[in-house]
Amino acid sequence: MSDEKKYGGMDRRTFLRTLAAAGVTATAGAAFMLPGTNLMVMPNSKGYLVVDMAKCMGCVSCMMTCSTVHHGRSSLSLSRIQIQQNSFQNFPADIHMAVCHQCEDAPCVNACPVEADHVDVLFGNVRTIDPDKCIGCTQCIDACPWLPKRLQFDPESKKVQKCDLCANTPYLKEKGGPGGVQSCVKVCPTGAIAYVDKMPDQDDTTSYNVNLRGEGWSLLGMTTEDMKREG
Amino acid sequence: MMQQPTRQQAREFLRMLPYDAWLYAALMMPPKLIQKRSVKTLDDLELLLRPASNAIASVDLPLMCDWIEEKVGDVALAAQIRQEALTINGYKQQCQKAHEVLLLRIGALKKAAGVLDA
Amino acid sequence: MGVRSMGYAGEILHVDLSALKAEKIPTDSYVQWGGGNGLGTKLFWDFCKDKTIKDGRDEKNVVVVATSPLCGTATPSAGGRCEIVGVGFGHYPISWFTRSNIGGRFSSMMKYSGFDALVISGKASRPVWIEVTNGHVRFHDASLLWGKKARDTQLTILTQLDDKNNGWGWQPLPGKKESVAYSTQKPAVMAIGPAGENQVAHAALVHDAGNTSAQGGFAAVFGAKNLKAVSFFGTGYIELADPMAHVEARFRLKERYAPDPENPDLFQWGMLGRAAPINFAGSVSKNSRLQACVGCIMGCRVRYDVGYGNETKCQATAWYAAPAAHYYKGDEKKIGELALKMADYCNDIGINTYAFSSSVRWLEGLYHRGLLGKGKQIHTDLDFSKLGSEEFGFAFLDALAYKKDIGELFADGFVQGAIKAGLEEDYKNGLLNHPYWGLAEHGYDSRAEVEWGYASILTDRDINSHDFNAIFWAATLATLNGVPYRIDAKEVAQIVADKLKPYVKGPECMDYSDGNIYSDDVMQLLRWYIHYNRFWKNSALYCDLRWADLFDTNAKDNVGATADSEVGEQVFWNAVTGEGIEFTQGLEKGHRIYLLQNAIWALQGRHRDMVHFADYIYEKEIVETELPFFMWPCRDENGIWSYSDIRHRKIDKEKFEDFKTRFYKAEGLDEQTGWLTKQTALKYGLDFVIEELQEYDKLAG
Repeated sequence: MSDEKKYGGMDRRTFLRTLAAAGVTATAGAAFMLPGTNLMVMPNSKGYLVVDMAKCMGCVSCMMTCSTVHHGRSSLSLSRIQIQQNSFQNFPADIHMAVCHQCEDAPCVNACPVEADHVDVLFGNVRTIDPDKCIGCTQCIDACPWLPKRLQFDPESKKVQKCDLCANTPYLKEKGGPGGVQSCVKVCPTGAIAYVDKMPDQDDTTSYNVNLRGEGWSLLGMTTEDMKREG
Repeated sequence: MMQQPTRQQAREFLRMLPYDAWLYAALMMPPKLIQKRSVKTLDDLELLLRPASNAIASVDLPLMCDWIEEKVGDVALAAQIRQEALTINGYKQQCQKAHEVLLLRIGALKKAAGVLDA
Repeated sequence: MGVRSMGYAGEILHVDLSALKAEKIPTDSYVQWGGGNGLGTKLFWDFCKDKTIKDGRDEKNVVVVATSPLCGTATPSAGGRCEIVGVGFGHYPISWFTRSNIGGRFSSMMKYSGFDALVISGKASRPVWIEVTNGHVRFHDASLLWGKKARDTQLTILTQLDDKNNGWGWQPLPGKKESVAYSTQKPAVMAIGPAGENQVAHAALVHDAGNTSAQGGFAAVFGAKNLKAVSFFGTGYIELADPMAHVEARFRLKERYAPDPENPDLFQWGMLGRAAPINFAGSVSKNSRLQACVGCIMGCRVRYDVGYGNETKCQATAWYAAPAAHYYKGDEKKIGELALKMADYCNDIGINTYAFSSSVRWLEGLYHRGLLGKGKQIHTDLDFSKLGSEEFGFAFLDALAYKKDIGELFADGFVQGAIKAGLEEDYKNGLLNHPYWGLAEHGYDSRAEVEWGYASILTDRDINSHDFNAIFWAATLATLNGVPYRIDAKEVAQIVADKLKPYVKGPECMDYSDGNIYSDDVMQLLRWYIHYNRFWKNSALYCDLRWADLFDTNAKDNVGATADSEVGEQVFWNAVTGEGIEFTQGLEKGHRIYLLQNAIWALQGRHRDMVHFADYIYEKEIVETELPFFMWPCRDENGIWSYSDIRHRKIDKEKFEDFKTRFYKAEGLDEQTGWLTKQTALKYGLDFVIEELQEYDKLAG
């Protein structure tokens, strides 16, 4: 059945927003299934990562630090933020930064058959995966609308992982999660990743890519102009 | 005021010098950019010393004066730069003054030599 | 596979090109050598059966490409370096066992694919390239790649490896495949271009757009072995001994030392905290980004929107700027454009700009002296009156890479070519300024910046290590620009001396005045310099452009990060390996590595009598005009410190010979020969070299 038929002629997101306007929200509590539907109503995340793809220098320190604080291992494959680069491409298409959007209506959460991928109310409603519950079916990966996918499959543990804004980081000394430290933000040498508490526009495919280059950046000979990038 | 050169002298001073008489210098662009330059003519030297917002000549100024005197042969120019530029404080200021003196001299030399400046 | 030591991938890959066979060796027994240079030297010792070879292109030569435990981790400015060792090519009179280094993503990918090092022995009967993917090794026919430039070679290999849609590039992940299915990354390829295929001394290994392993001549060695390229791809991980301590140290280092990109201090003094990219051409477009090797604290090169010059930097962007400046009459835009295009082309044909950059001026001189040209003493069809033009630049580089025209004469090195052409005098008198082992001067005259020269001649090549050189740059540029010194001479000498303990007694080691450059104080500074290089820089693989950070104005007290108890080199090493060593224990490891290398050089034919500079270093005083001053901390006769110009001098041969004697003694080497003694070999756990040295009568004492 198409979304429009299921939700009274509205697409899924519009339908959820209509419910919210009518006072049916989950902002103060856990996500819940709207009775009589297969629709998860989930509170918004209290934090988001945004990036500046023109400022990234491709050192992948964020990726290695991400996997280190979560797993105690340094790896690009175990990182929840993915930086892709092509040395032979020209600026600005040579680098692409992929962060989880902590979507308003997270398809990965909706797709999980065992509620492993869930909204964590203890950590600012971040969308995260409970590894103890994950069965490694990868339906969440398939459901993620972004390329590259914002969830990663660990072939060793046979589990899927995703960005939790550093909520569950056994190897990070500081408190992580919304309101706490995000290791990728903290380690980035150029300041190409930022943490914001305002949800980026969910209807704009470029809204997670912002301009983080101040005037000081131009002293290094680089542009400070806005650059719209999708992803 | 420097003595006006003859047409023959002026042409001599403006010539391209043979290899073993070149002056080795560099152009510095702060903080750490360096472009090495071979100075083969007075025109090259003017280009090197020309004030710019993002660059400064890197050259041993006393040795440069020796070079003008001994290799180029323009004793008057060398003396003028020594007198007007090397006596003031600060390397940057010395470069600027040397350029001023040089620019005037090149103009006079070209006039005397009958060379049109491109 | 045995127990995997913390920080290591666990295995070493040995490829025998003669048999096209691969074997895996546990890394464990090599862990005592650290990584990189130390690991590679020991592997060379074990795998190279004839260490008397004097030309790296010999089939018996063994080349090792080695990572360190820090590679593939977020250790600041150490995660992405890679060391290459073996007998090189292009030195004079003997091509020594030597080293080179490359950045980018190569070492991290090698480790993620399961290997700490690659040992290459033998010679393939036809061109091959090697694919390594998550532990699996395949030899591929490279006949269709042979002749291709480095960029095209890499792109062809990347395309070929991606035929199963493994998921790198911008493609979606296939989702449920095993092994490599879950990466968004690309394989890391290191290739040779035409210069390597033609086995010329100035050939360079190339990885991605702008990473090269150039000095040492290893691309010629790859060419001789018929090895066109090596590709690594992996999805693995590196286990850290103390992940939390590692992350904390990285955060702390950033806080204290890293440049602030939003408020860059362009006149900062120190290594770690430098903000600006290192490009000598000027910027051709502001539509560009900083670009960095894996794990770096701040990128030092740039990618542009203009279609050329990506990741080029430093000398590669400098060598053609002078001729172009003259030819285009100071047109800054054209100079910048051409400097980057030439740098780009050098990376494409795989050529080492350091090998010929100073020789360009010498060649121009030969032309003006009437010795080079059509039908001249050195015949050439290249039109040197067009030097500086775009057309000439490409033709000149092609001649060198394809071994044609004058490229044939200089294929074995510029000194060798000069001698062949009857111009040995130019080598002796310094017109061709190749002061150490027939290799080009790095730009820092050995008569002024003595530690650079001493270390180069007492090892195997241009040392290329900017630890102390950073002082020269800072003080010289401040003088040039008429801005105040950020740290005065006395303070910097004291800060550095404190870092060098227990090697040196005090700040007198930093006194580079004429009377002090042969002193025991400077000799001890030199020992620290070599040991630091051999372990922390060349083995642990801290990047030369960031480390050692001896002094740093980003820190409140101007004291650099090196050896610091909270953010020093050993802190990251220990957090990764769990070894728990002191900074100075790393220096001891460096000493041991250097001693082992001395054993190899002795087998190759080195004797202390050969260890000397080109004649001009002893015979002629510097007549330097490129820099108005070469500033260095010095004391005057009253012991007062200041930055002073240290040009206008030559090296006193007798005093340098005496300096060498004291250096050998302090190192535990024989004073008469410079060889390893039996006593030292036993003392430093090098007993495994004794038999072989005795066999060739190269063991002293």
